[in-house]
Amino acid sequence: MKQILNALFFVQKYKNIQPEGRNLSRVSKKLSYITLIAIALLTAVGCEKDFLDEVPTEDVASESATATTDNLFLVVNGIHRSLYIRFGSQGRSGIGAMMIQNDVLGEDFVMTARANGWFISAYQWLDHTNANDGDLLFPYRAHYQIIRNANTVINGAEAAVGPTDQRNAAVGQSLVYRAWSHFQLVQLYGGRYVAGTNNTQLGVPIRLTPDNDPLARSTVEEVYAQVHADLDQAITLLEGYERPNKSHLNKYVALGLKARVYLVQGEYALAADFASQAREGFSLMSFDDYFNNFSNFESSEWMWGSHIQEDQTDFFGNFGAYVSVNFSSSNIRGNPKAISSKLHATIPTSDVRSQLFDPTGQHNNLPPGVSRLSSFQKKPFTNQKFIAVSNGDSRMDVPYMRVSEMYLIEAEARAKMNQSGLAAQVLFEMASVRDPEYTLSTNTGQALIDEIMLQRRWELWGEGFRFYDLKRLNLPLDRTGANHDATLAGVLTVPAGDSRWNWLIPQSALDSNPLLVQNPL
Amino acid sequence: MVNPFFTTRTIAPIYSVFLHDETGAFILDDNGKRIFDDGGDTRVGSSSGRHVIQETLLNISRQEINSISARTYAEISFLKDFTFTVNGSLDKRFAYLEDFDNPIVGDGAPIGRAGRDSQINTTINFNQLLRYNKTFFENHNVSVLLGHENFETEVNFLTGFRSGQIVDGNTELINFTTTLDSDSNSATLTREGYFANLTYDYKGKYFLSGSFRRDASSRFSPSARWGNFFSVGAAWSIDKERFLENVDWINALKLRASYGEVGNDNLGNFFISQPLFGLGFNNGAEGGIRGSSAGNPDLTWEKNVQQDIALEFSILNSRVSGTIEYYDRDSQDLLFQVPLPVSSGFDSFPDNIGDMTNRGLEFDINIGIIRNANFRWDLNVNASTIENEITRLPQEEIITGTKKLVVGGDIFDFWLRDWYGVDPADGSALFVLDTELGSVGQADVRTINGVDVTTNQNKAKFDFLGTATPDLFGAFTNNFKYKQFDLGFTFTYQLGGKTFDSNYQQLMSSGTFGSALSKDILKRWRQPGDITDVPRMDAQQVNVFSAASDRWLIDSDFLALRQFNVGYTLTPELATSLGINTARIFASGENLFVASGRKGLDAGQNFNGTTQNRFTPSRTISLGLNLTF
Repeated sequence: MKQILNALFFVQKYKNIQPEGRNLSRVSKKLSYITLIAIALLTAVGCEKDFLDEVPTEDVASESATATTDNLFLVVNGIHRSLYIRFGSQGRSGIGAMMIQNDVLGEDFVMTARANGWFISAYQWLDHTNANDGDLLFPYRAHYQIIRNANTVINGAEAAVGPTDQRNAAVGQSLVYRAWSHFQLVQLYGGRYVAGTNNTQLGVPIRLTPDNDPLARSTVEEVYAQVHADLDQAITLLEGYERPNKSHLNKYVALGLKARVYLVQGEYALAADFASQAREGFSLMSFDDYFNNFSNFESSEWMWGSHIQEDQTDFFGNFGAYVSVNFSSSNIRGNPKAISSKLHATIPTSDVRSQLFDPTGQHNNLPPGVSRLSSFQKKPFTNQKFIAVSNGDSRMDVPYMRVSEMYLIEAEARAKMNQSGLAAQVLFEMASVRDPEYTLSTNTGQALIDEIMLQRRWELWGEGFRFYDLKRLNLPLDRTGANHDATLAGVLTVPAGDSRWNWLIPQSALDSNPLLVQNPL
Repeated sequence: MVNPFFTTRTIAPIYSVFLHDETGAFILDDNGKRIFDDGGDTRVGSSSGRHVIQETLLNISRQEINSISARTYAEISFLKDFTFTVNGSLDKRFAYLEDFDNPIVGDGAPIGRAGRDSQINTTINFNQLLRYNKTFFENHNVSVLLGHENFETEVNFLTGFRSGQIVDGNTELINFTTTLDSDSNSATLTREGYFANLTYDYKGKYFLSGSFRRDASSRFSPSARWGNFFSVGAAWSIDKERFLENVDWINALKLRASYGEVGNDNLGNFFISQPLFGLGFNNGAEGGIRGSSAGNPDLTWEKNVQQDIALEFSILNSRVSGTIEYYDRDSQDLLFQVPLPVSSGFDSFPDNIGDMTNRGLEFDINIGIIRNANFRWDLNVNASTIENEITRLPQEEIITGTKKLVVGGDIFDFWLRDWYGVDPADGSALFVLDTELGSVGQADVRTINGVDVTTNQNKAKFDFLGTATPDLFGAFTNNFKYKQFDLGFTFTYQLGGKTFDSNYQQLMSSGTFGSALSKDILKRWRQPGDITDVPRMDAQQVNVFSAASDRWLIDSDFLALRQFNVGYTLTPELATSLGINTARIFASGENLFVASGRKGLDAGQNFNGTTQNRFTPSRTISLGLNLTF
């Protein structure tokens, strides 16, 4: 079309040099030919068949997503990426933000000041109890987006051209994602899983195809059955898959998830068994690595995590922009994140996990190359577990599964099956690496369970487990007697079994789906 | 970017711009200048670590736009009555955006960052027109037009974003260490149309016209992209009839009626009908794509049908003239982003969802009230009524934002929690109870004056509680002239309709720390027995007390003095004696006054009756002197 326009401007140029160029029909014959050619060209534009066929440069057609097994992997990588993108607004950036949401609902993670307000209303239990809240919608929306992409791969893989092992790896990973997302969703929005019952309380919709039909909520039991079915199939498909890096999901991540799911279900024998299988090939970080370089997904301890490359950063939305010791955001400068003083008092000082929190807030003992600016507020018991790239770069690797959790799952499961000796031994394998002075526990029964649960809280602080743990164990929230500011925290105690342990179904989800029903209010 | 309108509206007045010592005196830097107070991260509220004035001074946000356009045509007349024309046009718009966030305060701290965006829009239009004009038997005028046109618009976008400023004072990207974003994309929209138009008149007295268009848009899939649109019109110049020949007081009188269809393809981006996966979701060095658009291959043109009948008149030596019109604008196959179940993984999909009608009267009259040698007074009044109704939907209801669409309803009907008031006993906010979500006996359900109400916003009943659509709106203008003086002013007004005032909602928070509040908060409940509409201050109840409800609706009625001017023109004699042709001295003002339901409310800023933190219409006052020589 541009060429034709040039031709027309060429005619126009000629016309303008004629003394009386108002009307071409009156000027020289030669020019009339040019005009006629231009007119013929112009008239021909409409006949161009593809004139109305336009395609974007920022997107590709949906059908190409499943055309080849290479393309299936593009979708799988898109899911990996979605664990650290922003979902519409700051404070809703990927799984890191959901980990913060989970921890601030608990008692172990302490907000030291309001600062610029991020996650404060979550900390006050005001977000997930307000059906209209955008932060309540965020995990629901983000996980179903992951499920949609996973379903595209799972349902479209059969026709994709390419080697079988690549297809299996893509489908296997997608199944793990579908299982994991449903599992996260049912733990938040569904009723609590109660071992030994039929679990007919409402869970969340189970979405198995990439379509737009409204779906009703399935029961909690049905959701867990689907999660297991997906994970089982994934474990078969991922057999022998060698992943390029730990953003990808392999068989061991799937085994680790099985262990997590069984732990929630109180299926302790299975939880212990899968946790033990999942550990294969991984080893715990050394004391020094844990202290100096915790957020490193290359670490032999990390089973699954995200590494954010420079031009894929979300700036003030990254996990490290809220929880790290050193990134200079308004949020961290004003509200450095602390551990509960009550919990910290239970950690022996010889334990690396004690040393990752500074009761003075001065942080004079930072790893080499790490610094804080003088404008950072000094608050007691703030963490230096999480370290961002620099004061001006909030990126850090985000952990979703570490092998220490598998030791903790197995220890807890065995202790609850009254296998105290085995439980103490598994715990020792992990705890003795964290604390050189740790000795094999002589506790048994409830005392051993309590010890393991404390270790779990020390180990997984800030990694998004606490709300899930309180809910699965049917425990109350108790923030009293620690460094929580009562005004800031708003809520200091919540009884076990309170309706607030179930996140509300988001209002916009109710509005757009007549089959959905709200949780008991 | 810091939003200065948001900041000025919400920052608590206790926070100072500059640092002060204990005596209240300014603390000065080494150069004797005042030091900005950014609160040192101890402030609470949105102002922490930020300084809207300092940031605005230190940051750069500058956009330069250059446009060029070119038009050309060629025309051939042949066979006496025929003309063939080809027209071509080219418009180019170059926009270049420079952004810089300083390393001292705000988002750029502590290392600084800068961005550059370039956007080039190119629009090309071609048409080929064949015209035929002929008069038959003296009085019958016929004109026929056949045409074809192509439209193409292309957007080219390039962006770069880097952080880590190296040398002070240079904000070009080369002066930064780290690339945060580097991207480009382009998108093209094309349309093609064929059309025919026929007009006929008899003696300039009776007019008939008809036209037909067939249009296609690249926004739609090949099977759905062509749409047909036609229109017909008729007019009767009554004043040219013999029976009015001797009626002196009628200068012009015309009755006209028309029916016209126009297509609309404007929804979302250029590729809205295509199911897509988005690029830009790489995972480290591995390429990644992600579902970005549900698409809809059946999506097609929305058709806007305008039907009107009007009487145009001019009477009494043209002292009074005007138009009275009845209109009925139907939108058929409305283009709309329909919310999807969230569990689908998409927010919405584009669809032609139904039909809607807008009906009303339009009235425009000019009156020369006084016209004599020294004094003139002219008045113009216009007024419109509007009535909106959704006449067809594919599903029972669509809830979107603060609105719910149902057949028979108004597209701007508010769907909100039903606010009941404040309990004098304890200052709690009360909403009318949704009996499907709660019942008497529960801790958060009360019965007051026989009405079951709840203190839990999640159990509140939603209802249709007003519409943003006005009953009547328009403007009136007065112009006076006395000897050499002139004076004129224009008022605009609206009657009816509601505004959901989210700005006020934000300023009435019952527990936001460090932010400004409306002085209406002084009316809050404080002790048992207080009768008020403002709940108690309670930080734990912000979500409940501030929940979207009809508490935040306010009448959109307003009267605004949009324009005012006064002037004096020198007499020709005086001007000539001063050696000038004409001279006028004047003062004028815009947006001088507004009366609305709430001070500061800019009612009618959005058609859908919502508010934002944005620039309110600026008040401009100018003084001037016009001279011609």
